Amino acid sequence: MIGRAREFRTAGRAPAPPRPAATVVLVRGDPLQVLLLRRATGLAFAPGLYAFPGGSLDRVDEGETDGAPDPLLRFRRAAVRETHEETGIRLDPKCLKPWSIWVTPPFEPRRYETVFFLALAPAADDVVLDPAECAEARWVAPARAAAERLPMLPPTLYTLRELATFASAAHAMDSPRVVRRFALDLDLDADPPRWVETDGREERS
Amino acid sequence: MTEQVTPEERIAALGLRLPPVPAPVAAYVPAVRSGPYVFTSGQLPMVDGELVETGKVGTDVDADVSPEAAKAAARICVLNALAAVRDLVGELGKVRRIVKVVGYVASSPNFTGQPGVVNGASELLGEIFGDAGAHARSAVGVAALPLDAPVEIELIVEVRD
Repeated sequence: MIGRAREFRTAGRAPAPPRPAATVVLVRGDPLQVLLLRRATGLAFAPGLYAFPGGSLDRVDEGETDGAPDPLLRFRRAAVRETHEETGIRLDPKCLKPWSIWVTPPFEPRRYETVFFLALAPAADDVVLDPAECAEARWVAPARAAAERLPMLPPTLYTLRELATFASAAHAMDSPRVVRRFALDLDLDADPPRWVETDGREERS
Repeated sequence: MTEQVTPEERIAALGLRLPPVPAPVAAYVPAVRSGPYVFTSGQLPMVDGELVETGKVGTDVDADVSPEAAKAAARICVLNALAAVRDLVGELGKVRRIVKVVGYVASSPNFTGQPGVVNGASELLGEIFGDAGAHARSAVGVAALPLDAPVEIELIVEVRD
């Protein structure tokens, strides 16, 4: 990653515009467990890494609803659609809790601005994987998954650490949440390089 | 389809909502467009017609409002200012960038933490507009503000047609 950041700085390219995306952190049980998928090795973005279900917004996610207008509608629809495609689990778009927003760092060639939602997994739903996208699915305790050093992107690890503080899935879903937008970049002038907010502030965590 | 996340979507994801535009407390309008720029009037931390905090900001134990509470109030000022902008131009996706933020902080005599208070406004603008939220700024300590508000924020934004 540091190599890509250095190459980007040397090349002086403009950053790719981030595409809108949605991710679902599925939680269940007491003690809390979270669903982690291992992404297929053939994928263009984050191949082979552990991640939550999700993906880019699509044309099919656009359009109005009959109910009250919801500014996040297309994100909720994308979150539900991707979760169903990748895991077979069906969710109610209204039951997704906005959790955080993550923007891929400017040096990455594929960039996303992703709304992370928290959702309670339906009790009886078994995971049915799409082998083209996912190699494996695991329900894990977040603290344990974070400690295992599984290959994953920083937002996945950060989210697992956040969830490790909750006793149960219900506690996490019911928690008051101040949603933050994480738009980080690597400060290559620091030794060792460290994450900073893109406006130059240090990462507050 | 919109290939980017809109400011309205970010506001919703952050769990926030743009309020109805508050009625001015004197003879002026909430926002004016001049060429590509929109200038808002100074916005107070009003929710449903009530100030969320009143009094002077300071770190002394007898100060009316803590810097942290004033910083939170500055976020509300920004939402009110953005509501005025949206009312004028239709949607916040038309905002090309935030140009300038001016923040007034009703300060106890020895309080010098005005920048930290106005950071509440700046950080929220960064979260809603990303890189386009970076702006020039003044953070000014004053003796008193209208209705005994602790903080007042005004914006200058550049918009596209």
